[in-house]
Amino acid sequence: MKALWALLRREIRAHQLAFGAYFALTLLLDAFAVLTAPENPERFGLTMLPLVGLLFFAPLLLVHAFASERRNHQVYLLFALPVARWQVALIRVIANLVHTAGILVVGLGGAAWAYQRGLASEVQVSGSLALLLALGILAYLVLLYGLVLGMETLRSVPLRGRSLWGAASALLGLYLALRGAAHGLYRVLPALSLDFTFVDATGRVFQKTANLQPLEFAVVFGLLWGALALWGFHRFAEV
Amino acid sequence: MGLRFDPTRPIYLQIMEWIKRQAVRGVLRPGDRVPSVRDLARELQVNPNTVARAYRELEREGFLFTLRGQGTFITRDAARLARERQRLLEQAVQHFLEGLRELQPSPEEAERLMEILRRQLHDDR
Amino acid sequence: MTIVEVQDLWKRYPGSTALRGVSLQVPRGVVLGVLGENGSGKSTLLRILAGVSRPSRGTVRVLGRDPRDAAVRRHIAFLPEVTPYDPWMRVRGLLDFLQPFYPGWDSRKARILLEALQLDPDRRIGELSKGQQARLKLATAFAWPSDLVLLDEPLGGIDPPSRHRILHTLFSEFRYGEQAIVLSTHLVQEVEEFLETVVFLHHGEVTLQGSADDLRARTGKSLLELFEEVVA
Repeated sequence: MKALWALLRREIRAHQLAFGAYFALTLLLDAFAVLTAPENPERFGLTMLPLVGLLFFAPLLLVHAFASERRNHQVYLLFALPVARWQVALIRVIANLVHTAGILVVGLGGAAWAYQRGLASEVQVSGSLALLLALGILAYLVLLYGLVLGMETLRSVPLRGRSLWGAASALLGLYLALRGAAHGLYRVLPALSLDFTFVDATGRVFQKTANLQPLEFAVVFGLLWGALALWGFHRFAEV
Repeated sequence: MGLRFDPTRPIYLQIMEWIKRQAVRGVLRPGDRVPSVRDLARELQVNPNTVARAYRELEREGFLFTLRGQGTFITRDAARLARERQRLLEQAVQHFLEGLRELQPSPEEAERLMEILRRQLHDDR
Repeated sequence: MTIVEVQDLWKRYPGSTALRGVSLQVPRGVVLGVLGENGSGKSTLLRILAGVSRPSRGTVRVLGRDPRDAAVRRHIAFLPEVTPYDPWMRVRGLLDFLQPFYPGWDSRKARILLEALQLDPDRRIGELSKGQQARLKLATAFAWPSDLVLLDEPLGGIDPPSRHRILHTLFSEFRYGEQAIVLSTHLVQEVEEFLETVVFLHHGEVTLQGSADDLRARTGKSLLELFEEVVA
């Protein structure tokens, strides 16, 4: 256990430069938007930019982590350590989440502060905003982590035509099965919908209703896809 | 130590020969304790298992004996040592002869060489 | 007891075959030399023994288990040819990092090893010269009583006069008694006296193997001469 903790600390430390760069970017954009927004309400949208960018950056940071470790040969150490492959991959993902969380906090913090400074005179939210955001981000991240892990695994397993076809068919079947499962899940869970009213400084009113069903599916699919990718990495990844 | 090994011959044999030479020359006396496997390996800069093999072979030949807990020793058997001495001397003579035979000395040259040899060994004493 | 058991090992990459039907055994406490030129498959063999790469065919067992199994890697020390450490880590940071992974890690011995190999614990790994990096790797290998030590070209980067001395110091002073060591190199001359058994690899195949002394007795040749014949 102590060993895994040491590994996690190392993972967080190893990629903190890339994280730091994005963190700084987030801060700058937020500061810029917050400071100039009272005169230009449209600039408020800039505080959302890091969050959106995060959705691309988090998986990219993960790709960078794998790629740089291959390039700099740390993969030889990590794979030789008495730690199961799937644990190595999972710890890397957790480290990535730690970095991601940092940026999320800054991004959301900036948005919250902007709200407070009166950029929106009135916001009404029903339903669970937090749940919506959390599920959405989780689903998205897990899907993309799974993709990254899958790519890493494929580096080690050169797929030939037949196995590629077999893998594609299996994935399609999995997708359809999970779609069905998510439908069932939706029936079981209380239907969560989100009504979002936003009035900006000029008095314009925005109204949105978000339906949670696709999100539930994405979460279920994402988690299973992630688990499959983790297994694949554990079984096949090598130098 | 600086013992140079001939890499074309088994190292354990060379270690055995070295110990035998030390004993015959009197550097190691009958009943003297030989260095431990590790110590000798360190001194000669070889793998300890090679030293262990040399010691095993020497024990089989009766040149060394081991007392449990005390170490490994040169045999006290004077006759055994004398035999070894004889063998090594004859071996040296053989090498010498091989070197000479290549050059095929005449009887006169041979006589002269014998005289040089006799005088050299006498002076060495 | 046999520490390493390899049977009919094959390793194929797209476009090439690195190992062809390699079989070998390493008993406890024995030093095995894997001798071959660059590209002969030495590194691949060691990586598979370390559990870092997968065999395409054949069985590999270390302490009776597959090295792909994380648990048995607690008893294997693997030093690849390259330096697999983070450049931003300090030397002592690396030792602290490795400690929780390996049972019996001896911090005191690790520090003594650093001194013996003339390494400054406070230097960052990225600042070390190639020779110092090579020595750092060796320091990590003998800081704990692993059952198997895998050294892939351990002499690379170490200046020629120091090679013999360092190997000798490690093998006689710092090596744990029953450690099996598998050492791969093409610098046969430097390791002649340390190897007990050898395996000659050429284009992924074992062309010659056996006890070093027995090979010398049988052929009247040094390992270097045999190596040159194999390579030719």
